[in-house]
Amino acid sequence: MSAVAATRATPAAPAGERVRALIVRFAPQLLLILLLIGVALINPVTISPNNLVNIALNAVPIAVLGLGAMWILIAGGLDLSAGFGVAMCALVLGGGIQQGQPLVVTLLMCIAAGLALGLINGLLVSVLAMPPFIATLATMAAVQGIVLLLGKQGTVIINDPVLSGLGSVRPLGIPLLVIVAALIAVAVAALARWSRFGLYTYGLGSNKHAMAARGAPVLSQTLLVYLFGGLMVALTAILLVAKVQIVDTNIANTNLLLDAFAATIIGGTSLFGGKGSVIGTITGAVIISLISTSLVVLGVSAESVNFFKGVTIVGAVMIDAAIRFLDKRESA
Amino acid sequence: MKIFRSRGLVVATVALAALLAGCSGGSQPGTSSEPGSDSGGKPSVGVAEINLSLPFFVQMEEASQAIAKDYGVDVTWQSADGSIEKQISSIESFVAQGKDVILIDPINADAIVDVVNKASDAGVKVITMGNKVGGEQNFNTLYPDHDNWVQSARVIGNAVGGKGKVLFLIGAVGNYVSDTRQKAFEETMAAEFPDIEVITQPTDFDSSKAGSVTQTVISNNPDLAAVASISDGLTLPAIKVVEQANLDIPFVSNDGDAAIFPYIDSGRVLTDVITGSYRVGAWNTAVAARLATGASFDNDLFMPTYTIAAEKGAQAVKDAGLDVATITTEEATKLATDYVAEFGKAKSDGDMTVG
Repeated sequence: MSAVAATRATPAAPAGERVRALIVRFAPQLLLILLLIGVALINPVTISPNNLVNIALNAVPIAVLGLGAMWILIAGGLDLSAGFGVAMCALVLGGGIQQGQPLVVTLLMCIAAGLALGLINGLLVSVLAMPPFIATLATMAAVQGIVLLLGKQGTVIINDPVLSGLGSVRPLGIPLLVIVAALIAVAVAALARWSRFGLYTYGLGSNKHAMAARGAPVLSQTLLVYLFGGLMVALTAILLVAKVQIVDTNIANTNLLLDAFAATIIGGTSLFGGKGSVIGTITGAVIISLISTSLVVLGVSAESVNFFKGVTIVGAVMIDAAIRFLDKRESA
Repeated sequence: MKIFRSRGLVVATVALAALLAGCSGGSQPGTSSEPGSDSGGKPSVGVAEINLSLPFFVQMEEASQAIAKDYGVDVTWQSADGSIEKQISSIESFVAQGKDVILIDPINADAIVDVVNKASDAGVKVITMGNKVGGEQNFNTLYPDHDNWVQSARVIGNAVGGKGKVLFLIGAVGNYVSDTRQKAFEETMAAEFPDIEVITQPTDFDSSKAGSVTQTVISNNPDLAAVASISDGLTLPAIKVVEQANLDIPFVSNDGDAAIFPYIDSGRVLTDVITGSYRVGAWNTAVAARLATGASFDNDLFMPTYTIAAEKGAQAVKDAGLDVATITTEEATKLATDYVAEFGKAKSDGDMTVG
């Protein structure tokens, strides 16, 4: 999308067309601005500095998990196991801390758990050629079972100074968690833009057969894509544990997965592969967090929160889809 | 790619076969209508649970199996996976298998009335857990959630001096337990503490969401006076947020999770009510086992619950004018897992209900 838009937005193009290209290119960001204006008009307190920090903080797990989901979607895949995967990795982390393991060892165990999940998903999809929906649906059920087994350790309260600090320190008023998430996003963006891994991921989702015909390593690339997704699951778990500072089986579930998917889609990632951007996904995560946080600030009744959240997300996706539809029609 | 597709087909077939084998490894539909006929003469109990994908239900089953050994009965658990159709099918299957007693954790209390009556007509005793189901002959095992949360409202309302803002963390609207506790708390607050503003927030029982919501509410209400939470899993992340904000405000909670005991002892949590997953599973199975072996009960049974409080909390209970005996965290620790001693065969039928 951005390449097409940039091509059309040449100095020779008419001004109207350039504006349209910019609107399409920055649709998620415009949507975010529109939502910010909307909630500010209802109650200006919603965009107070404190609430903006809360919105950024609450967007962290959605954004990091969303980046993993985005990467897999770009490659033409899907990962339904990620939500319970986060819970599993968090329980591994909490269990290690509870047993008095050194933090480094515990973090490595957590990352290993995420990578193992990614490896299994990758093997099922690439080597065994299972449809991603079926493969990750199966691993989701299996991981849910593992979560229950690990949950027997009970609720773990995190008192580790490093994790507690990660979750509570705010240099210059900015939560450290937000800074770490931003660094992860920059790393993923660099990977997408400048690495062969990024190039092959987009290629895999755009035209897998053409890639295979040119001798590109489709199988190993698919495996790597899911491994990368597993890594993002583990990183989400670490950030989430630092944020919540307790670990139990309900620390992450399908809610987080759905929020991450919604963020990714609102951010412009195609469900059919080959398209998606880091900045779009991050914007999508902030939009989801803005909606959730605003509903609390605005005092929407408990009975109506999910309704309004659903309606707002559908509205956001429809506006985004309408912008893209108009762009396609104009182009045609 | 053809080879991959073929391999995928083989894997899918094997997976399907494994799934079917797994399903058939559970309870086999019986053909006999003789009570207890599927368990070698031992009384048998079937449990139609909402799902077995949540730790609470899994722990219920664990305690149920343990106490069933004490009573010498067979217990079979089946998950309805949240589907009312599947739950009804499980109940019908239990009737066909000749179970002596069926325990049902209703997904929808109204939807199972017919099948409950059919089971009763077939001579099977039916217990509906945690809900009052309007069947003709069924037993209802109930938790005094309403009374407990009237009490919690009075403790917290009195502790904040009858005015200010109280954050109330609930589970999910539509969940029976969450709804019952919410109704009792909000109605009591409205009637007895009209100067208290209750800020009710749903969490979907998600601890991460409970923390985020508390953070947002505190940011916008720095004068927050207290937090009430319907479940310890939601209370703990909220306490973490409150600690980070350096606020010294009291909590009331529910469940009796051991992880919260240090906060009860420190006075941060004034009161907590212990129901406990193990106790709930054990108590229901004990009632079922007794019915299967000829005991008689009133149709409504109430589970004994206890209010856990340390010194500060016990004083808060007294200050609220409540005549409630509290137990310490040490006593609660023992109680939570000593369910065989509390509800085992050695106890009398009268110990199975309060009120």
